[in-house]
Amino acid sequence: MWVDRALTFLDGDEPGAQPAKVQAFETIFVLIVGTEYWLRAIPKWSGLSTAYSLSLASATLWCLLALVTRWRIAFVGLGLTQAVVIWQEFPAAGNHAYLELILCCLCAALSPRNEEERTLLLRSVRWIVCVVFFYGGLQKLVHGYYARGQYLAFSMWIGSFRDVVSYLLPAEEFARLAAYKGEVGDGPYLVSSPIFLALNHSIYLVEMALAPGLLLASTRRWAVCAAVAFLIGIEVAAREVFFGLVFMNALLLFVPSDLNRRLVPVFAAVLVLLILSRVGILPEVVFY
Amino acid sequence: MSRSRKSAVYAGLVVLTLWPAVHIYLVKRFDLSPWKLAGWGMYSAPRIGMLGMEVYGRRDGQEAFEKLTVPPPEVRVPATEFLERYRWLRQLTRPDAFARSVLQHQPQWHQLRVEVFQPVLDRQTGMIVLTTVVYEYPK
Repeated sequence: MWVDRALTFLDGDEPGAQPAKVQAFETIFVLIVGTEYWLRAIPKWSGLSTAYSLSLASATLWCLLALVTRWRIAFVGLGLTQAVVIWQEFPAAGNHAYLELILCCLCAALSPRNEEERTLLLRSVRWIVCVVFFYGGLQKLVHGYYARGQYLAFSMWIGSFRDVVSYLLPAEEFARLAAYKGEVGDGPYLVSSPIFLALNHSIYLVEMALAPGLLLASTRRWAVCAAVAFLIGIEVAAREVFFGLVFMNALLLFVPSDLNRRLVPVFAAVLVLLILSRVGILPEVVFY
Repeated sequence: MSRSRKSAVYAGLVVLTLWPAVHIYLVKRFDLSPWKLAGWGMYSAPRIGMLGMEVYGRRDGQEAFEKLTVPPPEVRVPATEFLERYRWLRQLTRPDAFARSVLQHQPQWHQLRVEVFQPVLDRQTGMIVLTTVVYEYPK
């Protein structure tokens, strides 16, 4: 089948690395999704809706079952819970919620114990990473808000964006853009600084280039390094932590070795830090 | 692995690959927000939180519209629901349920006009401008 042949482009694991790699991927994925449900519940704990309480209980149960037993039915349950939450929040559900649902479906359908299914699981997740990168860049290009730096200039009302952008603009231009409040009549959100515009255009170009870069075996090693750096850079400004973690977990499947197995404690530590920040033991960090 | 399961995964991957292209079309055609619905268009367009609505009604045989100044609670719920859908779906949604509830509450009105206001960043000028979409409902 032509899809089969197309997906073989995405192979490239070290011999014997696949089983541990897929297991680590599933472990990290379940830890992220389970933690996310709790972190979203904590700030509204006293007024938690019945619907969300049920989703939280269901997600927790399925995550624990997935971690302990590795049964595929746990991913079916987690996927159904995720689908219900997306349905309830529609159309406001974030894209990371859809990405999590897609990964749940793949984990539910394909067993890592079977070599053929495990290979297809790896190929599928890698393909999805390429799709997300490519369209992430294309959307920025076609909607026209990066043509003259409009989007980044507008985003300066977000503190984390402003911190990053402040280094790229002359003081006068920075002061002008920082003074806008995003209200009717504000503007122009147009930028002339060449450094700022270079960064602005490089964002979508890099995203789109990463897709073929990851696809081709000859460029994959560099593309993985660039993608990890790009993702960390985006997270510094955007703080979409859950999308970032889920996507980083998927991206690490491009590494030929089972590096992600050694990174399970790192992901777990990041999630613990987020929990401690949210419950107030550590200083509050803004993340979404 | 069964052939049907393999085919289902392949079909899913094909759909996931084509959907964002359809999503881009929907954004262009219906002004849908690129941020949602798995088109991977986060950070491709500004999100401006403010969204407002004004409602006017006209009695039978009268020229002038009257403004609904104090919406009752039973009208506020469908209004909020519509605005939250409108925020992301824009021209893919209409305030039909909201309009029905207003006309139920204001039986003297024979025509209803719903005006939705939203600031947007104009790509050409870089200015934030107010856009208005009007929905008309005869009783």
